[in-house]
Amino acid sequence: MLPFQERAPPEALAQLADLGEHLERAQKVLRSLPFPPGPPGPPASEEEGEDFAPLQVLATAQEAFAGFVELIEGVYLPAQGVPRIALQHSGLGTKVFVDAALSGEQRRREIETFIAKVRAADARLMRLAELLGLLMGLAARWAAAGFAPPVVLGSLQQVAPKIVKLGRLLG
Amino acid sequence: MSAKDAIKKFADSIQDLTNLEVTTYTGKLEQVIDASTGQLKWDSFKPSNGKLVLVAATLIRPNLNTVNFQASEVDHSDLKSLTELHKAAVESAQNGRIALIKMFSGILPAGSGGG
Repeated sequence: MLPFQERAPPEALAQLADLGEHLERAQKVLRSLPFPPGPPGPPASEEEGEDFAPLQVLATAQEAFAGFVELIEGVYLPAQGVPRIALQHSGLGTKVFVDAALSGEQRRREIETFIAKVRAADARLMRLAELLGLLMGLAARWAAAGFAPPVVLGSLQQVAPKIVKLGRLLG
Repeated sequence: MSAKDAIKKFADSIQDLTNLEVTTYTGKLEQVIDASTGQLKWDSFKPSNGKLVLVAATLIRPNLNTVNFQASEVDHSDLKSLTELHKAAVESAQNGRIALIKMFSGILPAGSGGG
């Protein structure tokens, strides 16, 4: 357990809220370049020899962001339809609901399945958090540079291997 | 709700990370569903809601002091699986806070705490 006694810095929260728009703007910048940005020069990671096309790397980042949005909006079982067991996270805590119509062995089985889904979602959230932290730092650099194409492209290429690696871990 | 609105709503709710409260309820689904959206009316989930039974509650304070409540019985049924679900929810809530620390650790100024 980790105490978190600090107020979350407003600027950090604002960066998180703006991340989706910043990723979209970076995508537009890259698409507006006169020549399609190819993979960078010599790779600088254990993914030696692998190509990281910036637009594809950005697509990975956008998928991760969309995944995060989906996660913070709650977990339901079943994924579609009536939520007989549901959980909602908010900044203040978590609420859980179990339909009283569920009972006995059926309830036990459905709760067991739901708990497994929650744990899988938490594991995914941890990986997403690491990737989003990286992206937020990146987006802050882009915003500070007014989304200048050399900054967008150069900074993206620097962290491309890590983004791709983390993206793959998300499945 | 747009992605930005969803994150803004989430971000607004974590401006002041003090107590962490986890509550587990059971009740009749039709009484807690918004008929127009098909979504649960989460804002109505309070111990004072007469249509819901509070199965368990956990309050974790910033100094890690924890207060726990558990119903002695719920409709004469076995509480074991409900208690397991509540414990999993507490763990998940704490994981959420850890994920936030991880997310912001790259952009918080040095010495701002957390972690």
